[in-house]
Amino acid sequence: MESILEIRNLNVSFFVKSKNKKLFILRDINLEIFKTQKIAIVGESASGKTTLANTIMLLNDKEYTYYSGFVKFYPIKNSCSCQKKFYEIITVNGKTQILDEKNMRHLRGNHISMVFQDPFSALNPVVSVGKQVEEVIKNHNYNLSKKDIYNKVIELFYKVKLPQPEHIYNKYPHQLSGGQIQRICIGIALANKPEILIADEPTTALDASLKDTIINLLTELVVEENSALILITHDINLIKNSVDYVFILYAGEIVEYASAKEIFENPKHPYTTLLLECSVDKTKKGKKLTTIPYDFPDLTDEEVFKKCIFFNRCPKKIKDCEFIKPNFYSFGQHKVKCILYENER
Amino acid sequence: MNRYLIVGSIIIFILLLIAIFAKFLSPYDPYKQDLLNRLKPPSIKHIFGTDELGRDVFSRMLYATRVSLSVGFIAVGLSTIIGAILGLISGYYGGWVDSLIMRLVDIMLCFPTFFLILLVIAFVKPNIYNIMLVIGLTSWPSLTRYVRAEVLKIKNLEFVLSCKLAGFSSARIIFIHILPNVLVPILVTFSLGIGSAILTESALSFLGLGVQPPQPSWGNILSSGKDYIHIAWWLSLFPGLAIFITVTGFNLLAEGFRILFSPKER
Amino acid sequence: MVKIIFKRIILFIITFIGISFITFLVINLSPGKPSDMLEFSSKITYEAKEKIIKLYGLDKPLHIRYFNWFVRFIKLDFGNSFKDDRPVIKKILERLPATLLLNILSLILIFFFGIFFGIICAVYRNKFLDKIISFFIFLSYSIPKYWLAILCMIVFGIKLKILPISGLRSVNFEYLTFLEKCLDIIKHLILPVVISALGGIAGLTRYIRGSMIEQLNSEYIKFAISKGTPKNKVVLKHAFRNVLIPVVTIVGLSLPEVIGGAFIFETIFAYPGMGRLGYEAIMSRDYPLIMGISVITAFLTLLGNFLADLLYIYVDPRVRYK
Repeated sequence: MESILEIRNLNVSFFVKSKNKKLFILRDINLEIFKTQKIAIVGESASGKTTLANTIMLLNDKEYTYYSGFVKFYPIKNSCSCQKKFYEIITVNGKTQILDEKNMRHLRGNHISMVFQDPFSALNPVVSVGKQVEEVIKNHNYNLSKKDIYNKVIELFYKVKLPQPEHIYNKYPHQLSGGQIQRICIGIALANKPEILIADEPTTALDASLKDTIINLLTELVVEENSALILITHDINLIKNSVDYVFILYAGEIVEYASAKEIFENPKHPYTTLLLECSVDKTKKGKKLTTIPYDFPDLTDEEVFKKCIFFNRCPKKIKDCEFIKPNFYSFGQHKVKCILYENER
Repeated sequence: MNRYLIVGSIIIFILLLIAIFAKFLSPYDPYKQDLLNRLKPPSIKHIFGTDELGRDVFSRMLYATRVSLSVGFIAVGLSTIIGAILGLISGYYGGWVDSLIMRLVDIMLCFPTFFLILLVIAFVKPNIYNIMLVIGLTSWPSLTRYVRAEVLKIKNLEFVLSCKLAGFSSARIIFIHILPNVLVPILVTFSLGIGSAILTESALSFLGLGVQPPQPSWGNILSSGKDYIHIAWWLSLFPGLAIFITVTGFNLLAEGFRILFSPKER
Repeated sequence: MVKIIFKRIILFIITFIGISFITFLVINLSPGKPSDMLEFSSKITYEAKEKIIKLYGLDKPLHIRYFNWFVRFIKLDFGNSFKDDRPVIKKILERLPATLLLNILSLILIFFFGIFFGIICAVYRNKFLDKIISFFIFLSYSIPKYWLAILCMIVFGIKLKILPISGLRSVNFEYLTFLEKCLDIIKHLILPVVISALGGIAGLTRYIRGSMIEQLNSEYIKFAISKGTPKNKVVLKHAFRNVLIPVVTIVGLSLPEVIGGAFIFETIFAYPGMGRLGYEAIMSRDYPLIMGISVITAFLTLLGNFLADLLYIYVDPRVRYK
């Protein structure tokens, strides 16, 4: 299979000015995405999911963000004018470098796009939605006539199943519903048939009844456009039937990854098990919902990285957990970062 | 504490000391004329020179500090009380009371404040008390708007609703529960207001419609500075600088308060 | 939208009536009201006294007086000036163009530089350029503008002798060619316009910087960047549009400031405008003229605010398509 995005040993930290401390938000992330693959990154809030998405797009605040590691993107689109074999979004050669703004602009919205969490704040309130879709087409296609662009927008609106596209074109965001706006955002993201679509909690701000519809639309469309999908969510059950591969992220570290089938049928890491148990539909009637006691590690304190990151909340911890940082243990394609599996391999 | 607050407080503290101890600090009697030494440039004897009647500019400026600060504090104290109370009432009660007060504010804001003051001064005798009164009575509308907007933001929060449910009187809710929450904008506006009141007073005195000579004020010293603009630059420079520094002090203080209470900034 | 415009018009009318009422109160209730003035003003002849009593209807009850005043107010009839007995409205109209010229020019300056500096400060936030501009903005808040005017007169007019320090025209204006006439007027306008615009520029820069920073941190800006939109477009097309809409209102609200400033700057620079006329009227206690000028000033301000409101409704789609 053809790899399109490769993340190696990625570390991201923020400088928090008010505390005068570094926050080590992502540590030692390794991840590879193949052509048309659909992956999910699952983790609770503050686990670094959004930072990961922003890092791939280089959207973090330049002044206060520090990177190390590699993020490499391999374009496969034929239609693209540039003949580059790969883009090094983040590289380390003695010193960490990030891709220059010009190349990054070429990637954004063209090769890699993103759908944001809150549709209401993702669109410019004073520009008509049609114009906002046009913009992403114009940014990457310089030769299209006005008419062509308009037709493309209308075609996109049909694709994301918006009723009366011509009518919607001249509307402003405040005149549309959350579901409609999120469809427009998906349309914008897919307008240039990108290799990768990152969807950062695309349904969190929407009504519960819309969640499945939007996720289905997303997965349907990425298959249609031959795009890969990175679906970021805190709700593990949402992605059960929609993705191929799942990465479990906890406090900035990947703790387990495997095919979706494996994760749901055979979860190994105590955190994953707990995540699955927390879901409402699995809990039997009359039984208490499982909760994970909240005691999130302080990510400004480098000491906590020397032991298992899940140590203080783990129900299955043993004595060694406090002193040994676990490595990944493999079960075929299923990898888990927990010392309990040291002897099981 | 931040730099703004520290520098601002130091400036204002020094000015207050000057105002209180003007009598002991000034080398000459500010009213004593010396017609032989008219319009003398700064020298060791008269460090800021002398004016057209031979009075010591430095001494006059020290006494003028009193005028400026007292006009600033009293006028703005008055306008703050009016502005805050009207804003609280308007925001809290809403309805026709609100409409009435806001129309009044709109109307007041249509008159350029400075002109409104000029207008009133045209009918009353210009002296330091009338100046205080006029500035105080004309500069409250913007604070009313500000406070009202803040009250609207918090009046439907749970804590206010629970006070209502507990049966507290409106006055108690307004002054004990809402007022502390709008204190920051009031404090900032108060500090900024003093700066601008001092500017207004000096401008009025400069135009001959404020503090009347022989009582010294930075504005009326500047006014004679303008008359002797071709020959006596010191009459323009020093009082202007004094106003500038004073207003800077109050503006720094306001900026300091603003930053202190909005941690998101910077 | 029609409903909102209708509401604005109603408010406009109510405020207009309020203005007339306040002005009426000031004349009739302040300690130095015209009727008192009749007692000790020796300059005024018997006929003039009669005229004033008739003009203000001083022999009638208060509410009738107000009604009469309001009718005259609408007809722009403010009586004749004490000084030269010419109709007040004529005297004002003579001076109005010069004042409008000064104020419109300084509004243009405020708009242009306020927006320019504000955007620069926001884009280069906390960098050197932002710090230096913000520093000057802060200074110009605290500096007495009329003092600055005097300093500029000393430096540019008296020491360097490159700019005239008073009036709108030179003495030899009549003998100049058309081009020289224009140049002469421009030279006379530079100092008054720049100095009266300074406060507004500072205020607008500060406002635009703040709201631009707020907009640049918002989610839709991130989304625009993620579409591959170039930075200048992100700033000017997306963020700036959102900043510009409230600016319309802000400039409307700053009108009184600008017009109020005109009184003092016109006086300092001996500029032949309405502000200086007002100052002179106040100094000579020319009541009909004072009243006329205050009403016209307030009315112009109100009109400016009203137009700004309408413009706001037009440019903000969130209000337009409510």
